[in-house]
Amino acid sequence: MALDRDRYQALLGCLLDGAISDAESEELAQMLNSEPELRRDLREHLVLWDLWAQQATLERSATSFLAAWKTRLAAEAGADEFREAVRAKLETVAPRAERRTQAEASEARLVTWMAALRRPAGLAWAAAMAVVVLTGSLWLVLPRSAHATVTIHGEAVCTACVLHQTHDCHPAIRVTSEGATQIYYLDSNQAVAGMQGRFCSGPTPAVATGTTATKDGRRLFEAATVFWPGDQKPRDPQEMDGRVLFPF
Amino acid sequence: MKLLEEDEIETFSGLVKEHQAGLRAFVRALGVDDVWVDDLAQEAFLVAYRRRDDFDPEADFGKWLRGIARRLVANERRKAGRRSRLLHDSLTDLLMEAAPSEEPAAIRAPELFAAMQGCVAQLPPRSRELLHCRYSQGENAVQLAERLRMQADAVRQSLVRIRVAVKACIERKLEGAWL
Repeated sequence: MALDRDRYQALLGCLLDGAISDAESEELAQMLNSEPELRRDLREHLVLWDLWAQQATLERSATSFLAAWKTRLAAEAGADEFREAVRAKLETVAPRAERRTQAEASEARLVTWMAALRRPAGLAWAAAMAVVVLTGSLWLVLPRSAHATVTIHGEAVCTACVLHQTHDCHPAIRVTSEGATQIYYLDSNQAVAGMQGRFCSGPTPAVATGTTATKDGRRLFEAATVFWPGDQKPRDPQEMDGRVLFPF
Repeated sequence: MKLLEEDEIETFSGLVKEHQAGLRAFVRALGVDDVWVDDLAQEAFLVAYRRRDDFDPEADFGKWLRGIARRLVANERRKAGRRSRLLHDSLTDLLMEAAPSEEPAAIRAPELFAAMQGCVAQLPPRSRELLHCRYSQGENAVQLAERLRMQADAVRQSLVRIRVAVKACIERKLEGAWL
């Protein structure tokens, strides 16, 4: 079969634009299968344009990548501590049960768990466990979003008083790297709620983790968390009014 | 103990900085969807960090890391029943085959990027602007087409022509095989 180079390039364009359909992917795969040279060409384009995207997109910079890796490493350590805490709690229940017969022990465990569930602290643990299980299930079941989580480092600014772009104050993060400046317009969601003062009180160092999208040439950012490096601890809406919902 | 671990993280961070660009490009070339490239590359660094005691300091760290990334992509390929982080099963299979398995080649990221910058600088201003909008502003062909009052296919064609020209320029600059 003669190679239709124009068609290959059209499919390559769709793929590099993230707009290739399953049928087009299959068609491209068939072309690559019969033309090993095209495989090399595609591989080279993927490498080149990913490198270019890394340099051109601030949220993909080396600094952001390293920060995100450290965040994930810290999250893993946090998960280990959580597991240890659960194990320690279970071990405090176990010795009493061990002195009984197996049937009594099973019954005792059930009763202990039920009793623990009735206590506020027990409820919090159960809620935490339920959230972990539910989150995991949703992650497995739901189709993946087209947006991966990224971390941006910059300054929290207000679109009115600092950027002078709007009449009302909307939260944004200004990221400057290697002479380039990018404004990320934050969605006013739960993660940002109650933090308006931070944005309106002038540029404040901030680290946000979330997803980005582009609309009308503007970079939009849906934050999952916003950290204030000056505080040395994360702030979230639960902390704002003194309540911490989960013990991790 | 805690301080010791912090030191280890700092030391390892140096390796992350050194290898991240090439590893991400390597992961992309294995057929990973562009929005998940960093996610998978971070995972590879997390696995490497957890298994750092298994690494022979005399060995090539980059090669070890690429091996981990390759296994992660292969695992992702085997996952069924949920949407994966890959481009498309058939494409990923072919790209995995195309990537040398025994000795995954290092991607010379700084050299390649420097060559790219030189080649992009030689493009006409409109082409440079298109690349800027696509990559720095993150606009896809549909968004660009709306703004420039063009068809999305026409924008994609223009972008492909630019990419092909840049790649040909790099091949001339680096004289032959560069990957």
